Amino acid sequence: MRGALAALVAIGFVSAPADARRDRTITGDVIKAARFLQTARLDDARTLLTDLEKRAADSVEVKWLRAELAFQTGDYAGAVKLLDKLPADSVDGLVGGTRKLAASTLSVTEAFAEAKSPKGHFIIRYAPGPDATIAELAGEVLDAAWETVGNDLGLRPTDPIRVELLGAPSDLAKLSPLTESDIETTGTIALSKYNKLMVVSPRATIFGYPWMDTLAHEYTHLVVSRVAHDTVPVWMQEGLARFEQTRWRRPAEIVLSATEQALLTSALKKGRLITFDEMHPSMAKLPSQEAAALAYAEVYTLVAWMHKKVGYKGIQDALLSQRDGKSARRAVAEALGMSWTAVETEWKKDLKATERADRASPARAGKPIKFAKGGVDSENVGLEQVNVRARKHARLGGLMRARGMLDAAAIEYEKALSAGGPDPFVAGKLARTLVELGKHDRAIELATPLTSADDRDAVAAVTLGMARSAKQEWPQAILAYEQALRVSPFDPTTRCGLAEAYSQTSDPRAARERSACDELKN
Amino acid sequence: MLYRHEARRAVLYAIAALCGLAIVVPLLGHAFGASRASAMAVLGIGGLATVLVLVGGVVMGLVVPRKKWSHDPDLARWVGTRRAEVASDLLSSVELAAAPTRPGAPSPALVDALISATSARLEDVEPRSLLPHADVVRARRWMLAAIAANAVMLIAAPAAISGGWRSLFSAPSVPFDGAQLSEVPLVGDLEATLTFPAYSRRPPLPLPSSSGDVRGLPGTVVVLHARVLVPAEKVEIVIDGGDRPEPGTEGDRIIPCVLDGEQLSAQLTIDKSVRYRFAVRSPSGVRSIETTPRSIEAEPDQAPAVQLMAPADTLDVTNLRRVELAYVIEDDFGLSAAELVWESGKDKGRKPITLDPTPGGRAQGKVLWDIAEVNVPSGGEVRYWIEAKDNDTIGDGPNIGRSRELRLKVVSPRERHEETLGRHQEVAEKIIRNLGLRLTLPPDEAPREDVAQKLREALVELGSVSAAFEKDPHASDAMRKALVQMRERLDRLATAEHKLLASTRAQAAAKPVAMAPGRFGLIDPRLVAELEDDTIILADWLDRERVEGMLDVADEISAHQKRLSELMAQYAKTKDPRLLDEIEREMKALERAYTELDKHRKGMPEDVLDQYVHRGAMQAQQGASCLDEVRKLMHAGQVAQAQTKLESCRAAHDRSSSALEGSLAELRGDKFSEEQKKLDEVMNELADVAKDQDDIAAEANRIFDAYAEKADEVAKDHRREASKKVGALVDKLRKRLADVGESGLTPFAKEELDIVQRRIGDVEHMVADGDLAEALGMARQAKSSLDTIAGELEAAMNDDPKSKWADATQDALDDVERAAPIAKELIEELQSLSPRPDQIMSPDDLRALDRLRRREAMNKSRAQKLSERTKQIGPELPGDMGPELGKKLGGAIGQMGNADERMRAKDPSGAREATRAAADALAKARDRARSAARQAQEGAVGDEPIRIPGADEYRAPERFREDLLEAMKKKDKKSLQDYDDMIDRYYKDLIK
Repeated sequence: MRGALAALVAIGFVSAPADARRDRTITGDVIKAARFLQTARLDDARTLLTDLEKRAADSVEVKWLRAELAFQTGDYAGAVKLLDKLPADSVDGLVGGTRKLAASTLSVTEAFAEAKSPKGHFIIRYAPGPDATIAELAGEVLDAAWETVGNDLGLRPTDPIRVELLGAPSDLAKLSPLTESDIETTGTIALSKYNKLMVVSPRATIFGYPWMDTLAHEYTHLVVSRVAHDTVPVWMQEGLARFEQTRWRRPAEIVLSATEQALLTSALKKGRLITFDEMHPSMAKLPSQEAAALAYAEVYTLVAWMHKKVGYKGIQDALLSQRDGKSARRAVAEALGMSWTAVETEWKKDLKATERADRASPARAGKPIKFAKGGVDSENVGLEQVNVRARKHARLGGLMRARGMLDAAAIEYEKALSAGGPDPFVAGKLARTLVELGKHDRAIELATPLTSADDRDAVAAVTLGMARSAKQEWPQAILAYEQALRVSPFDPTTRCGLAEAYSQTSDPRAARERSACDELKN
Repeated sequence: MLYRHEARRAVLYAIAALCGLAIVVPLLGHAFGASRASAMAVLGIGGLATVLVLVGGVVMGLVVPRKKWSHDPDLARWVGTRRAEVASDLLSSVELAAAPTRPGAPSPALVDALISATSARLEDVEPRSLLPHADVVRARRWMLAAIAANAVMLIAAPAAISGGWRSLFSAPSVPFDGAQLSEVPLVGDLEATLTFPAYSRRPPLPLPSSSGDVRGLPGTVVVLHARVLVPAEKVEIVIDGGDRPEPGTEGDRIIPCVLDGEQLSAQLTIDKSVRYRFAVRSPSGVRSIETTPRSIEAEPDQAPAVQLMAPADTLDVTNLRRVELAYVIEDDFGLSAAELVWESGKDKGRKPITLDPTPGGRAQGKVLWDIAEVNVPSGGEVRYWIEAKDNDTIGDGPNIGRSRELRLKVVSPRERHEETLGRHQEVAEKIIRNLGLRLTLPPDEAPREDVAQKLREALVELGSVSAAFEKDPHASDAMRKALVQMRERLDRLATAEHKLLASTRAQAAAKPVAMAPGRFGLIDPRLVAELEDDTIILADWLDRERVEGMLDVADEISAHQKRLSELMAQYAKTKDPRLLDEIEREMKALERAYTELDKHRKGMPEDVLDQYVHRGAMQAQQGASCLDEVRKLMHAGQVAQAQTKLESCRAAHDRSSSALEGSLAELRGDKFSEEQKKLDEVMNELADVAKDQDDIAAEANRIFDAYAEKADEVAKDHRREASKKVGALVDKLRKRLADVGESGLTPFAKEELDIVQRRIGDVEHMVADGDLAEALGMARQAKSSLDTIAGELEAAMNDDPKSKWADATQDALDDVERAAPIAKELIEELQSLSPRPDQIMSPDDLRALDRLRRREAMNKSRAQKLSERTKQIGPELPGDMGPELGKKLGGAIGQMGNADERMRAKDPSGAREATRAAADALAKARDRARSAARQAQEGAVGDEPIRIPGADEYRAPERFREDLLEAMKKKDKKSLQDYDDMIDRYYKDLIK
């Protein structure tokens, strides 16, 4: 539908009336309103539409615009009603497209509950049930992001932003142009589109994912779209979002994970960086999660480098230049005061310098998001990442763990470590098994390096939290549990452990975590 | 008191007797009521008996008692019979009291004393107790029984009682109302016209000079015309009551006749067999009736005779197969409907059979029965038969005929395989647990005994599972082999451990001291390593089998979708509402299959799903919701949209299945890499061969198109010339054939002769259309049939040279042999008129055809090498792929050989067909190889039904042949058209 909308806008450009003295035409205003809707300028669209309704209330185009506006402002039922009985192929098929999207969105979200973020900047919508346990957390994260991203990029939306927490990737596929295969292949789990944020709940995944950062990431997209009237290309959008996604919890700095560093190193070595053109129209359309991860890492480093050079002021200038019609390449080059070729050269030089500095880091592929597919619980999800030599024993360890034979499992995991050397999967599983066997010191010894190396590793983080809690090392336990919470908030062990740790340290958040713990345990 | 008692008894017996008479007399009335005299006699006897009963009652109840006990001594004697202890004293007292004074008599004082004593003794005797109550009770019982018998008779058979009385009291009517019986017929020149019921399709039957006896189906209208032979004012037809033995009774039916001078006419409808007479009233009022009746015979309409043939009387059928059934239904007048009926427990189903509109009451054909229609679980038994209704619309409606009942058992090899897999899973669990126990085994002996015992138990079960897989078509040889080898390895180790344990026990018994640790140090690592490997092997096979199981269900879904699509197309074409039930049934089967697919997904370990089964391969829910949309559209009557939607569902399912095949290939590549490597090698080569064959077929198609265009132009040029030349020959041939004497021909030769004549007509038509190639084909067929006739006649002569037909047959043979050279000449003429393809084709195309032949030969050689390679590495390929691919490749290679021959013969049409057939065969080989690699059973869900053995060689029954020949005797075009289809089919079979 986005494509058709763009086509409509394009028609507007080529068929704009040549004689400026003539009165405004309805066609011209329809195109203009559509353009506003497309470029995230809903207020402008609303004003123009009010005027259009006075002049041609019954025209299909105006009805569609009204419906589109209703859809983008969250009134899905209203949008469906407005388009009811209109021919699907009207307005270049946009009527059918909007109606279908609004109807499927309505079917997914009609039973959703709603919660306002603590500061009221966001409305979190979610399916009643376990998602309620993260709604408040989501609100807190987003309110924080509202402040920091607003400072950084120069826009704090005044209207409450809708956030829809979706239960499964299939729901995201229903609410967006992505297919389930796109989502699974690239690990795209959230979108900022149609003036809202759509995020698949971490409960749809097996090990979770950095859902808090993802919320901030998508919110950054929304802000960038509004600032630049949706003119920013995908690579820059993603670079900015990636750079800003952790700003709600830490200062502006580039922190490449070992995975990202490994991917960049490998791509630089082989000369196989993903080009900016390949990133168009969406990172989600890249052929694999690995390719997407590399692309994100590239644009992340580019924006970080730009930030290092010209700060947020330069970034804001680049966005405004793009809003005013300049290309991203030119806008970035102008902000940096050099040619685009020089930008690319300098950036790659910087990348190589970083790569040299981190050459010692282990080169390993990224840890893809694992979506739950409704099979029988297994301890061996992710086993394919384990070194082949260790895989047999790791698998046997998983089979033993799944049957509660923890001592035997620990033996097999130890065999796996001996056979294949240090492996985060095996070490994480062994650490968890040892915690469950009450062998906390060895568990801490195994889990600590894992949590440091990968802040997405919820298994290691929660294991560490458990071991620390068992040793009554509450502050360290809280740190570990909070790391786990940012990835896997539906693990009752995390929430209950955090509740206990908070209460031991008289943290007021203990009540929230206790409530979540009780909810998830039931 | 005694008198009352006796009177009561007499009254009761009298009533009982009268009630008895009230039953007996009317029954006798039935027996004798026909004769007035006998009836009166019965009535008289009955009346007399009644009077006797009444008199007897009075006498026995009133007179006799009073007479019997009028004197005291008599009464005393009677009392004495009731009370023996006072009998003597009482009688003495009575007699002495009344005795006159006489010498020697006892003194009065003594008598008084006796009387006093006796009186005292009698004081305790209650007079009522002396009465014999049993007598009255018995009499009352008799009376009640007689009354009850009357009541029963009146309720159960009132007509019998009332009729009996009526026949006794009423005089029977005079036969035929007193008409005079005439020994001679009253009417003559009788003509009858029978108009049969419409359903019988019989033409009206006039019967001139009829005797008046007619025979027809119930519902037949009989119109009678006759001349009255006596003066008549009124004529009637008197139809006997039918049930009555005596004619001329009140049950008779009268049909008035229309009298016109001497001529009469009447109309009646046959409903049952009866007799009738003409009755005439003369102008003087005298009524006469014929003594000799005429008969109307109702011809019975028989129920259809139904023969049902199935592949076997008792069948084991998978739930997704179709069974071919054949039927022959015969009825005397015509059939209206037939249904296949089945019953299984509470499920009862009917499937209408479309009957060919063949003339006469005969239908034969085949019906494909989709076992998916039968709602029965695996293992369930189904009884089935065919019911046919004739077209009788009279009376109770159609007669129903029923075939013999056959049975089939619905089985699902897939479900059976899954049950065995469940046991496989249990064994795997035991092996894992045994490994877990051994990994943490403490040094003391007690738990070791237990662990060893558990391992031996697991081994027994492993053996049982292996045995179950032996007979399982879904289990691959590689898996069977892996399990057998595993069992052997483990058995050796378990035996060794057992021996060690036994010796340890023996030593411990002999010397009860603690055993040194490390006694099992040698065997433990070997056992643990073996169990670790076996755990992985079992888990790998289970994972693979689970993915294959999903694909098996996906195959079932494809089959159901295909059938649903066919049914919907049929419905769109015919709008037959009966198809809607079948469509709904298919949709339900699909729903069940989707649920099954989802169940399989849920039963799979999450790590297998995560690693191998991509989201695109898990479309059960999407499939179910897609089907739901199809159903909604069907319910809304939007059939075309529903068909389109179904096609999109099918496409989505195909994509999903293909993704699942990819998942399986990935899993095999990961866990059974050697097998997958071999598979990939073969499949890649096969893909290359198939691709080349597709290209060859495309090129052959292009060459043919170019040839066809030119051939068309040439034919147009030759049309007039051909018509002239061929026309003369055709006429000559026709003339020769007309000379063939029919009397000398055998029935088969006659049939063949007809074919020859038709083919000659075809030749004319084809030539007129300019289709010389087709005309040549027809001429060849005519010649071939002539040769067949000659052969048949020669055989007939040899069989019976002295037959009275021998001369005529010899003449016919001579005629046929004279016709053959003309047919040959016709062929040659047509050949000369239709240039050979190589004369038409351009030099470039000829060269291209030659190049293509060489290419085909090379591709054939590649296919042969691939076939040989497949044979060599067959055992290393997964599933049944080796033998199955070998088989399929054989077919493709055969087609390639044909293509080579056709190209060598410069036959672009044949080359096109053969190259395409080879390409199709290779495509099928690829599909089959892919599914055979996962042990999918070909035909388990395929289109090919279970056929009746030898059904294709089945020759039409004699009567059918007769029907056909009879129809062919009818020269009018209309009659022949009715038989065209049958004749075609018949000859097709015959020619085969």
